Amino acid sequence: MNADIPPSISLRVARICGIISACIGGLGLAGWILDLRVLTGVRVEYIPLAPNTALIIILLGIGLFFVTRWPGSRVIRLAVAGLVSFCILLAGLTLASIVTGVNLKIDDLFVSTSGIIGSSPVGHMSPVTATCFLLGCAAILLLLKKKNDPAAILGTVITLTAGVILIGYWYGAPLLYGGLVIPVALPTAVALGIAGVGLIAAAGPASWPLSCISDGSTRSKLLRGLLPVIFIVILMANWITVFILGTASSTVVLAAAVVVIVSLLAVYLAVSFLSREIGDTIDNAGREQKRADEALQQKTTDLEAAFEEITATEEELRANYEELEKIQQALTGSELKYRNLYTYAQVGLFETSFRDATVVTCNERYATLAGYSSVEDAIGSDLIHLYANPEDRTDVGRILREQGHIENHTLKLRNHATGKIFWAQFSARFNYEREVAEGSLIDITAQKEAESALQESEEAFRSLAENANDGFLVGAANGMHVFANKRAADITGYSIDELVHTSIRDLVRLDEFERVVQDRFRKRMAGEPAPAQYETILVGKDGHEIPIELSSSKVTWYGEPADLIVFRDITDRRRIMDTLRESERRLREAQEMAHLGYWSWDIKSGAVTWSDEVFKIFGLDPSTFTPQIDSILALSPWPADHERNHELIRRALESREPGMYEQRFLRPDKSTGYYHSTFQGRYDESGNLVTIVGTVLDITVRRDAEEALRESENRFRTLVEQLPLGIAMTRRSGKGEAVFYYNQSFSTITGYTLEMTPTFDAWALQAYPDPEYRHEVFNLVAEMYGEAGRDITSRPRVTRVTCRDGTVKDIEFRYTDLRVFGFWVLNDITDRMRAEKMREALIRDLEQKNTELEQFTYTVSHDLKSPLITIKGFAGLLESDAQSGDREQLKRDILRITTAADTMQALLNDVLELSRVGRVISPPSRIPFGTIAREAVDLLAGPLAERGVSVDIAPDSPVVNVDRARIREVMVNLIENAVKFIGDELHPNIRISAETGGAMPVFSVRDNGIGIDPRYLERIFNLFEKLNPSMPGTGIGLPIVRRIIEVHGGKIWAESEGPGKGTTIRFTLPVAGAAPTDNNNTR
Amino acid sequence: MVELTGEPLHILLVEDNEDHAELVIRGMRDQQVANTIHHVSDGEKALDYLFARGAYADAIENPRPNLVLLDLRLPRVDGLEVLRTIKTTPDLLRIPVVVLTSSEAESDIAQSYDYHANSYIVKPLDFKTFTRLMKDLGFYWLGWNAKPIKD
Repeated sequence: MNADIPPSISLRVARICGIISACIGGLGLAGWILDLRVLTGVRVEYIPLAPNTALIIILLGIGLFFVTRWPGSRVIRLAVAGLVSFCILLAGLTLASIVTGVNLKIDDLFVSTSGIIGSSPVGHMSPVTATCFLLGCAAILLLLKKKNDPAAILGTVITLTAGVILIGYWYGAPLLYGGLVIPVALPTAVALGIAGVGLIAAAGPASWPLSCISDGSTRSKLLRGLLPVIFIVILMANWITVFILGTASSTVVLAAAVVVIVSLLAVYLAVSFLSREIGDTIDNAGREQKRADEALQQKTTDLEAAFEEITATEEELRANYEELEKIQQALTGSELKYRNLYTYAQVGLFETSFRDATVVTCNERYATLAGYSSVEDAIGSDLIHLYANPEDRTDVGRILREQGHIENHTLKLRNHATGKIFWAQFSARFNYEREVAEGSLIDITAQKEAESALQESEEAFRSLAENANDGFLVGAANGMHVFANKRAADITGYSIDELVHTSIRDLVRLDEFERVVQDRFRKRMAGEPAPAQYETILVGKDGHEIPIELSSSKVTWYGEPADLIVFRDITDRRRIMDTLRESERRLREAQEMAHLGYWSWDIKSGAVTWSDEVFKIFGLDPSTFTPQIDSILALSPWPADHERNHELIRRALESREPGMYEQRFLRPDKSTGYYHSTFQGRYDESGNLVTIVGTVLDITVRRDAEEALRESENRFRTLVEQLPLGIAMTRRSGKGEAVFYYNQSFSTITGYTLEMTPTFDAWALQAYPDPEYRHEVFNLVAEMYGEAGRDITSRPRVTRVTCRDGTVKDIEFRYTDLRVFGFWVLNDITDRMRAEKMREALIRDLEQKNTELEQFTYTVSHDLKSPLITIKGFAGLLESDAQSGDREQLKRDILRITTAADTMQALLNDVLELSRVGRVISPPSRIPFGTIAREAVDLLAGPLAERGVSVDIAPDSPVVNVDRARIREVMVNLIENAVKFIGDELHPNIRISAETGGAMPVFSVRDNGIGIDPRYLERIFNLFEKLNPSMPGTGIGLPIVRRIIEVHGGKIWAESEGPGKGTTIRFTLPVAGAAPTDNNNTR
Repeated sequence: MVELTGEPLHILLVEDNEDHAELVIRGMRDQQVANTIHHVSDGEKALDYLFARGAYADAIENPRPNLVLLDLRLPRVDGLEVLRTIKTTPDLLRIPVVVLTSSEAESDIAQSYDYHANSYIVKPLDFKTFTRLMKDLGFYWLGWNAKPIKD
């Protein structure tokens, strides 16, 4: 330790020395230049320093200053080296010149010198000075090279030399300052001395001689203290002696000076030795003390290590230890402090005697631990009694004997006073010199307990870890696992060893790790607590992913902070969760799709739960609406419904049966909906109602559909009822076709009702009374069934149905087979058929009339053409007649022509007549037929009489509603014809009669004339048809008669048995009531 | 050209109109080919003649005609009926029958041909035409037309 003289101070000293010496040199040189002797030597009579000396001193001083001020700078060092080299050169040359006697005139190199003082020339450098300069230069060079020790030695030499010179000056002994040769000047000596000191100081306190006095040892201290004093004392003593001696001879003075020097030396040596001795002893004692302290500290450190885990004791101990440290640091060798330590230490310290193992000394702690009230009580106690276990004593003894010491032996001890057993850590050492065993005792009960607790907990942990179903990983602070249990290995696929060399990072899937870290970071930034558990994904040894749930906590593992990670494989759980979620989702979906909601009411808590669908059905918002038990019913603001529902619910709950009801409700938008609710109570073992659960199904759509259907059904029903068609709906059953519905029209048309004809067979029996016809109908029906089976609807068939009232109607039937039932459509077409018949009759009539018209036209044109041919023909012949001159022929031919013309005229007239007759001119009147007949007879009185024909008119002829004139005409014609064709009958007779009994009366005009060949009976009514051309007449009579009769709505025909058998013309006429038809046919 | 034998050809004229008959007779009288016209005034008489029955039983007086001139509108038995009867009687069907009528009705013409009339002539109104017709008629049917052989 060089605490006493810091290097900086020594350097500073060196620098100061350098400057001072340089100044001295400077002064000297200045004195030479300025010629001031005083400066060169202190006194005039003294030798002045030589100019070269002064120069060199200056340079050396500067050099020394530079070296110590800027030791690192290369420039400075070079400069200094340069300076020094110059000085060496100079001093060397001077010395050489002195030694060799060659005068180099060096001293006069810079400043000229002259003069002598005493026997010496002035201004010459002394060889001693030169030598010293060389040494000084060398020293500075050595300093440059950091060889401080040699430099210091050189410096010492220079200083001693200077000292001697100074003593010489002081004592006035010139020999000492080089009286034989060129003496050294006083300033030079001073400068040298200072320079030497400077060099010593520049070398630093580490080098000799400073090291002797500068280190911290006691010797240095002594030296530092004593030496100066002694030196001064001696010097003073001697100086006083010299002074007393007066100006003795120089020899005496010299001797005195030498004595001074010698005594100084001797004193130095003695002091040096003595100081070393004393110092060493004290130093040794001190070191011993230090070692003891260190040993103690070591023990303390050991104890610290042992108790690290025990917080309370540790703290106590640490405090104690700190206290101890404090004691140690403050250790100034005070045994009192040590004793305090000894006394009050928490470690029980004791010493026992070799002989009997009784306590010789101990401290308080020991006494306390051992169970003594005080140290005094403890002293003399037998340590043996302390052992709880006798074996321990033997063991301890053995170890001690073998090794001489026992360290940190753990054993059980018994407290002497309480008898309580406690754990202690026992250390002891034999101290053979003192014949004691030095020992220490630490109560580690707490620690032991903690240890065992720790062990237990560790055991528990281990068994827990091994038996757990979860993987356990303990990660050290550096992240590496220090423990893995079997389960962790199983889950991950690694072996326990492999796991122990990984960190959790290696196991977690890469992106998961980042995610979790981010998540935790984010949460922490948000001020939320980081979750204790989270799910993540591990990657197993074989690369497959394992979803896990992981929780981590901070634990201490063998004294170090560590992370305990507990994880479990949640693949199954995940799968189950997924399945559950999926099934939940499906359930919800199903509920949604079915519009089925679920609700429950916990009786006890009153809590009502609705599934999402319930809210949707009722149009309520789950976030704003809280369902109560009567919320659902409250949605129906119709009191009557409430009563009904409450009753229903009450009954259902009473009977413990599930209940159900349909109800309309008002939605928030005031629209009406319908729902169907089922509910059921749940009961506990005692039969008390615990919950009611139920469902709600939105049936609005269904209801609406039902409504629409009902409405449509009504419309349909109404339609069916109102149809003028008869509809019968039947169902096939075992009994054949059963009728289950007749519409109104069916009954109206047929007169049968459903009760009368419940089956088709029953119907057939009544509607078709004729068995043969019925059989036919059945065939028809079978056909219709067949057709309907193929084409849904059969073709229509007409049957003649005998209705209830006996009328027979033509009914058109259609059958439609709809699988589930069939239905018959009946259409009463009687009228239609009649109309068709009438139409057909009309058409026939028309056709006939058309034909007649054609015929008529043909006939007319033919019959008119005929006379025309005659006329033209004979007119042509007239010419040849005239030429031939045959006047008779001419006359005859002319007659033919005129006759033919007449015929034409007559024909035309008849045609006109016929057409006229086709129109009813006069309105009909009611008149007895007989009257008309008589009138006609009267009109033909002449011809009748001429031929002698008798006429009989039958009485009781009916009253007819006819055109009188026309019918009269008819009668006239018929009678005329009869007369015409009477033939040769001797007693010609015409009989006119009427027969009633049919729809119309039949009138007859019978004659007994020539009759008609039956073949021609039809033809006689044809226009211009003359059976007998020779007979007069145009042949238009009968056609006209027919026309008249037909216009009146009657019919006319001829009857005759043949030629010679007479002819009967028969015709019908409408009776009063029936109006004749107006026919506009031109006929 | 058929050989003109000395025997006159017989024509049966069935015509109900006296005047018309007269016209035809007069028209046929001056023919180159000699002919005798036998006139009946209704259909029944015509059939009687052809079948040589009734009043016409005498075959000498009522020789089988070489040509029948048949009017359609006849009393008693209609002309078409007569035609049909002729053409369906094996003995008579070969006799050429020329329908000579004032009717130009399509139906009459069709019907006549249906009944296998050999010809159908419509009586012209014009005398000169009528005269020429007679001439042509006689010339064609009595001259050109070959008589079927009676077997």
